[in-house]
Amino acid sequence: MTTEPTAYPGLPIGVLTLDDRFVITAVDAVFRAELGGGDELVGQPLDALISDRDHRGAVALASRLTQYRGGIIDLSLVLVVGGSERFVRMRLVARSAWQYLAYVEPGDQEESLTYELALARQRWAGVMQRSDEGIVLVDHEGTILQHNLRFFELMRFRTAHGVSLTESALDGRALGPLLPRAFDELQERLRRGDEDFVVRVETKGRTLELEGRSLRLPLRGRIETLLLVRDLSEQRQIAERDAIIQADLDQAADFQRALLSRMRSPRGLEVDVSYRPLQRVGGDVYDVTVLADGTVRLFIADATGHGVTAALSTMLIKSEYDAVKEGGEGPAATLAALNERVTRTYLKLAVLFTASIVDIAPDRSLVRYACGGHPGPMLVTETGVVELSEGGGFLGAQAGQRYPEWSTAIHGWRSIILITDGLVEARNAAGAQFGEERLLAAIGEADRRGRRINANVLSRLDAYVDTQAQTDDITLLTVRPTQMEDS
Amino acid sequence: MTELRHRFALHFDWVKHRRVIAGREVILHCHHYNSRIQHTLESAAGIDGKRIIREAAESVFAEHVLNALEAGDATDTRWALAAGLYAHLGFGALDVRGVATGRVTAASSHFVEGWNAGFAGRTEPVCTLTEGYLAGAHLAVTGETVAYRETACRISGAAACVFERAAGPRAAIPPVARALIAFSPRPAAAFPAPAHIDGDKIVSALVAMPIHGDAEGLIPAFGVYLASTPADFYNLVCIRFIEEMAAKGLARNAQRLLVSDAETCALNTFRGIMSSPEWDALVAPMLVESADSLYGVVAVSNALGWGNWYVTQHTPGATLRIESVNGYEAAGYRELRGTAAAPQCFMLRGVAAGMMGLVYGTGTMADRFGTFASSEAACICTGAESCRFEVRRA
Repeated sequence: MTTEPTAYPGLPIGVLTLDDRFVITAVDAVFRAELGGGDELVGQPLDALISDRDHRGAVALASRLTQYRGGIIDLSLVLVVGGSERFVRMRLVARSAWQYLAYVEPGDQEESLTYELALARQRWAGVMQRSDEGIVLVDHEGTILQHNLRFFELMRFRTAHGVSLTESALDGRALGPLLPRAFDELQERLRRGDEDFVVRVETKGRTLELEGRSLRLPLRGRIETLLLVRDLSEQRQIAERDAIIQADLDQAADFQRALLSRMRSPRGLEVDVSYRPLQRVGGDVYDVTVLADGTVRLFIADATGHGVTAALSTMLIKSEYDAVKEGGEGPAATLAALNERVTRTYLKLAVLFTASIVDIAPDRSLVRYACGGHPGPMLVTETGVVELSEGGGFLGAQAGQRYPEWSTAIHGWRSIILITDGLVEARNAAGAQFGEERLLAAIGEADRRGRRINANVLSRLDAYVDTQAQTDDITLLTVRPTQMEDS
Repeated sequence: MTELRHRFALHFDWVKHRRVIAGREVILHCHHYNSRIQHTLESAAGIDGKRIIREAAESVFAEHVLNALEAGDATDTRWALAAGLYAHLGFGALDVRGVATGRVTAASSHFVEGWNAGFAGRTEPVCTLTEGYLAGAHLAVTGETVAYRETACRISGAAACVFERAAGPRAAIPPVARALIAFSPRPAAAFPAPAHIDGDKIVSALVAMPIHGDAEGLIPAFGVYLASTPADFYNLVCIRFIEEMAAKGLARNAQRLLVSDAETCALNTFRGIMSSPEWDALVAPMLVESADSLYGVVAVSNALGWGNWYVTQHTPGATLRIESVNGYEAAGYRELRGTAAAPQCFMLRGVAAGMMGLVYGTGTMADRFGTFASSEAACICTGAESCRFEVRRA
């Protein structure tokens, strides 16, 4: 057994003695104790101890050994010693022209500074790798110390022939000469050593924002500048695209409003419509028409979904409804006819909707109404508010569907209200729905107090949901005799 | 010069997958590999890396330039051919009009551009290969043995690189001593073809591409600077580097660095190729699954004159086995040194790991370096019928 005296008593730093070919000639007691291994290491080349999994460490050591002209080689490596892989810090120095010493210190215990530094490096590398922003560190002279892939991609450094610089060509290079004139302000900021700054640069059709942050050490002051680089061009393109979409939606909303407001209040009746689409355009549609015999026909429908697709469905529904509404048939037959037209022509588009038709008789004494999966109409009389029958299935699903129809006398009626389910299904912060009870109560309150029903219902709804976001289109259509007065 | 260009016409040997220009097998490598090999040799302590590079270039290009000359060529024509070959290979533009006074200049240089694109600053002249080229060309053109040294270089800001004939006698430039070996590579049909990648179509397209020096004698393509360099040059510099480092007990370190240089080259060069319009047009339409990118890269490499190799096993993201039937390193070592006790294909070993790192790694090229480790399980140099490489995640 060949041993050397312990180099640093009390410290976990083992020593390997190497000959002029970096072959191990001695292993000291501390190395044996801290890392394992012993005489079997003697005669082995130093690099033979490096784990196969530490490719970078092996290359780093190979590079440093082939270039060694004196000084200290200081590396972290994974060695295989005593049958185990160990993460170590190794410092190698020449003791003489024919002998080297490798000081090896375990770095895989959590209390070890080597371990902490290695961990910090890995964390930093992880942050750099995953950042969507370009990151570059430059020293006080403007030399690039470190950068991430995003920085490299954003800056697109090229030679005069269009050849990309490699990432390794950046580290250690002065940033200034790599930058075109557009970056003059950045260069000036770096030269002055400004603490924190933001600079915008227009270059090659892009807008880059560079944010600089100084990194300081006690007593030394500013040592490095951290630059974050963002490509605002993408954000600008997104904003421009959003603006176009918004303008299109605004126009679509105008179209929809125009389509739905093309109606006049029938003689002797007042119609109040409140329409709150979830988005700029919605999937609810309504209509009030006076038929040839004086019947006032109310129509309300709710297409599945919301937004642009549902809005386009409403155009289709309205168009087909307009073709059947004055066909001389009752509410149920009219719903059936509407269903036939939609399923025959648009089955593949899967235009599904609920609907309800309410006919107010010419003498205003009777209503006939039919439902296709839609909430039933509500009737306000002198005795209170009642919800009328509902039933039937969706329209647009399949041909040949029939829909239930009812009729009821409405002597002394005060209002007829049609809604879409978005109103009763609106929820408060606790997740509870506004519900039919509250709706009926709000209608009744408005009627008793002589308030306009729509305004009162929506006021009660808004107070109930408070800050909760709307989740569906809401439509409220109220019809009342014109002799009704508000307070 | 235009009328003499036919002497540099490319011949592609489909059996051996070799590119031949003016009678010499040339290898397409990029500035990444060339500058890194140069950096590895010249930065090594205790050996004269510049001498290794220069002497290899002298011997190789003395023969190569001679191949391009014909009996009856006037001296001016011979020098024009020497400069023309240099430019055609992508090394840069030599002005040989002052050669009679012992002075040659270069307005452009693959080595300057390549070094600047790959490393952060050098002030010492970098055109070591050119020093050897000029000495070899001088021998071929005039029969005289002289030496050239670069006395000014564009890398340090000079307007042009300047090469001046060194005074005094010097040793003779030895020919490249090779023993021709009888070797027949395994046929491509012995290997399973990839499901979606048409390797022959890719190789044909690349062989048909005019990859030679432009008006500046440079080949900027696929985001890199390419150059066609005789295989003998690479083999001589690598073999001699390892031999001289072995004398210092650092043979394994030298080999490791050569592998590392090739891995870095593969990461950067194939990244450039995969980002190129040529890849988009030719290879991208063939890609169906993620592994196809790897097969595409292998097919491209088979057009570069490195030899031909084929994937024999591949688990995407995990392992690769690839077999080279005619690598220039193995064939060259056999011709130059005979059989070896251990595998000698460091470039292919590094490239195999680099290709996997490029296709399946993440982050910068520096982050991807070392993601995969490679080994050469069998080598033509040791008597095996082919070279087999195994790559796995490190």
